[in-house]
Amino acid sequence: MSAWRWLVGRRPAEEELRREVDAHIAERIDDLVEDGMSEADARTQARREFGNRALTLERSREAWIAPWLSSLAQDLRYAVRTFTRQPGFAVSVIGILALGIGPVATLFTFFNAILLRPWPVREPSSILIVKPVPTATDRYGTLSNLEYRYLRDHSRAFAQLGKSMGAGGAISYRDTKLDAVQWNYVSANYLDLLRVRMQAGRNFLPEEEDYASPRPVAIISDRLWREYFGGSPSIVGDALFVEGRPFTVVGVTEPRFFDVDQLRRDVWMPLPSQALRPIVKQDAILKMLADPHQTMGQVAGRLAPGRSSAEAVAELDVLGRQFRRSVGMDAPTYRLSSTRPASLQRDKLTRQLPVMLLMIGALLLVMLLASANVGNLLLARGLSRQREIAIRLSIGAGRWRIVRQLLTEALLLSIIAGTAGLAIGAMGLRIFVVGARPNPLLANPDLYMPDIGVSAFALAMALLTCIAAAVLPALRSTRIRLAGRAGDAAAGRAGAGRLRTMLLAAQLAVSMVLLLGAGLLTRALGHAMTADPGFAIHDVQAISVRLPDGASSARIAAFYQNLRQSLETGEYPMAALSEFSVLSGSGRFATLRRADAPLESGAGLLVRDVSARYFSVLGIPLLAGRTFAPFIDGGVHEVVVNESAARLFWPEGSPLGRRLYTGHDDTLRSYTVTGVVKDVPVQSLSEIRPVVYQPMAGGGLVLVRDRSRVAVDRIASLVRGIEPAATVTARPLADDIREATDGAAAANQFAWSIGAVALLLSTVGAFGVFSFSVEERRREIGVRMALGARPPQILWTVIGSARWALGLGIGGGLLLALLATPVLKRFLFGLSPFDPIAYAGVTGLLATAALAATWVPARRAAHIDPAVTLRAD
Amino acid sequence: MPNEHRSDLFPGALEMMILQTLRRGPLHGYALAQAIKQASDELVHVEEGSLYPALQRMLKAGWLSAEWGLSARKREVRVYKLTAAGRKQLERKVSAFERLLSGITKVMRASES
Repeated sequence: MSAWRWLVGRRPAEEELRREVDAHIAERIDDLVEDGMSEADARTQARREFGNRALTLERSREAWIAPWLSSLAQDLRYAVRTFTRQPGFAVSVIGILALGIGPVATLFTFFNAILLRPWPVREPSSILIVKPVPTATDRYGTLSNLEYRYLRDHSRAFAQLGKSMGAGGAISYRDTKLDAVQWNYVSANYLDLLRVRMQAGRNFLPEEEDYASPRPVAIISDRLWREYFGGSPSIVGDALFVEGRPFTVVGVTEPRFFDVDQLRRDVWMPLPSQALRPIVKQDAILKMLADPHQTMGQVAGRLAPGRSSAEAVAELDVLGRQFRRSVGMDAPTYRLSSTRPASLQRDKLTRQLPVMLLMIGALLLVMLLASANVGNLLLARGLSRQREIAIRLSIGAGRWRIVRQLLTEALLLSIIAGTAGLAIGAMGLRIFVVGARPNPLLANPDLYMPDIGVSAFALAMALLTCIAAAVLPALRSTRIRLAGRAGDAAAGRAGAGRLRTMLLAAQLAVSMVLLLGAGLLTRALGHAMTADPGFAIHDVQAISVRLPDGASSARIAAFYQNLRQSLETGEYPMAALSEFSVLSGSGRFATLRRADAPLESGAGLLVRDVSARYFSVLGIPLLAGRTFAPFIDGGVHEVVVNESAARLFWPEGSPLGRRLYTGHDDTLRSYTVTGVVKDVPVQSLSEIRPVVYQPMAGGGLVLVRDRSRVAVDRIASLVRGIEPAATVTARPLADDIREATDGAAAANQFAWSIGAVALLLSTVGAFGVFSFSVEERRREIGVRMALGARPPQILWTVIGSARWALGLGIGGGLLLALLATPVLKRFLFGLSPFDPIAYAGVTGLLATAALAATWVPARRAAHIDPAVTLRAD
Repeated sequence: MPNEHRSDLFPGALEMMILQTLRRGPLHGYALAQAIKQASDELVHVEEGSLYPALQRMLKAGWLSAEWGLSARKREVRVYKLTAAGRKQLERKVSAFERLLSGITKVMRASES
């Protein structure tokens, strides 16, 4: 037996001792009775002889456990008893703390998932991501396909090197059509490298990564197979249509594998099968895959047993130099990173840091709020327990002993609250992150479960908050002098009252700041929806065309050529084509340079394929020159640049007639600038980037400057005239704003949920404080009413006593908000961070809530019956 | 004086008497207290307030083992038994005690003469 058993197995050990002692007394009684004593006398005698039974038990216990540990156990038992006597108090404290901790746990789980967790595969620690250090000509630090294959074939430090390139779109299997599925083009060894097992069929064969003739084979995820395709084992060998092209399903992965990105991926196809995509020309893709200058995708390697990453880097440097020299390129420098996103995407992390800090800041404020609230509750409770505490002090308990008792209560509460907060956190994340994605196919749910680190964090936060909230009240409520208790208690009360007012004011101020953040984001979203992005986004419809599944590349190319020609003629002056939607941020990235500039000086630019009328249809003003001539296969390309691109390349003069170059040797291409257009955003509403517009060669969206149904019908009949089986769908282009502000909408949702928690906490706090003060002043109010005060007067007296907390809270909150809201500026789409409507609205909201919270206790005060109150005292 | 026989024992005396008493056979708490009382012609009265804490300390030290059994009156009691470690401890204690006693005796005789 150990001290531990005494504490945990409390009952048996304690119980045994008690039974033993009782048996002792009983034996003595029997002896005494045998000696001729009466039963009752014997009982008294035996008890007297035994002495203090409780003390004996206590000292026997101390043989096993140190006195402090024993008294901790005592404190805990006492705390549990106190809570079960007043469950309302315990529930409030736990609820408030859980509300404070829950959101923090949510955020921490989220950050953990997107930053700290390694890839969710077997033995992730031996996987390393291989990247060349970015250079001027290779800004993204990726490998060309040829280089990857060279490294893969020659590396000894890596047991395997695999490559992947993500993409997404529509797939269908039998009658099931799914519009937004993510897939991955992978090297044949990729799934094997990740140690993914197949539950049906087989993995890719090496010959299926055939760059000479791509094989249309696919592996699908367990979930896709089970939940969407009916789970029939006969799927292996069946045809799955990816972007309308048939692929033979060769395998199904094991359950719970969704690849390694935050987007879950459900289909895997060999790298060369990109050439089978309908939107590109097959030979162009195959040429790109064989071009050492075209870099793309992600390369990951699994270290061979016993090899270190230092050895791998050294080997890669040698191999890379060999390869690059053979194709006439400079020697690369490689960088290896672990699969933890934080080490993988350091740049992205730095960009997102301000947003994260803002979120963390907001949540810490909520924690503070919860802490102040709990502090107030503990303070009020300390006062109402003054009698109990005074008695304990007077019978000799040390002040430290009682403070420790109060802190133990706080500890117990915080452990329960931390656990509850964690539960709220896990739930919150499912709601916000997984639920926020419109398509459940895209979210990777397993990523967002709290792990041990998060749990420890939540508990530590709970502990910290609770202890911080408990210390001051505990010290204060034990500061009672034994003599003249009544007078001192009154003084203590006044002091506690001030502390309560300050705590309440602090809560209101914090809520004010948080609610203002939310209010401003909401106003900003409204502002963004109606704001003018610089082109006629509100007057344009985007019509997308869907061609029948299985249409050949030739048929698709012919269709779009036909459509382009029809739209370029005079019949449809208000229609244009664009490969991507305007605010989608999508496009091709190309490294372009001026004619007289060296190869390395190129700048990576967004290049968009649009038709010549794009600018007039969208109302993007042409500032100089003219729009380009339609696409001519093999001819000189004309391009239009935006102001930013013009400034970038020709800061000194007019760009008209100048040339831009891309590629070199046989990939060299040149473009002639024919016009300059005004800058318009291409992704978020505020982001202006240099853009080069080039004539459309493929297919895409039809944009019509006409909101009527008739306009859509005209385009639909044009489309069906060319391809009878095609279907069209139209949507307002302004929907793009909603997508472009998606992040802002999520931020707004986040801010409001935080704001709502803050409002709830401070309302509950105000309610608690005033209920308590009415309770405390019951006698005084009774006297006043006996002396003739009317109920309305009492009502206003109580509400009036809230004026300090309200005034200080709201005033302080406004001041804090004026200092803090400019941080939000970059999320406001041009709305002023001092937007008066948001300020007025939030002030009104908070004042109303706080007044409502005082109103209920005030009404209770006004209904106090003086006769009852005075008699009770 | 009524309190004469209740005078404080020197440290370790109670443990020693318990060990010695248990050498003759296992006993439960009450029987142990009675046995010590009788053996000392009622000169030593073991206070229950010291007995049970002492028994617990000795259990923890491994000198005793305890098992639930029945008393002569068929009452469920915890019966204490000497362990090997307890026996060794008793020997150590007794020789130390005898040395102490002979020392005290010499001092007492010396001052008498």
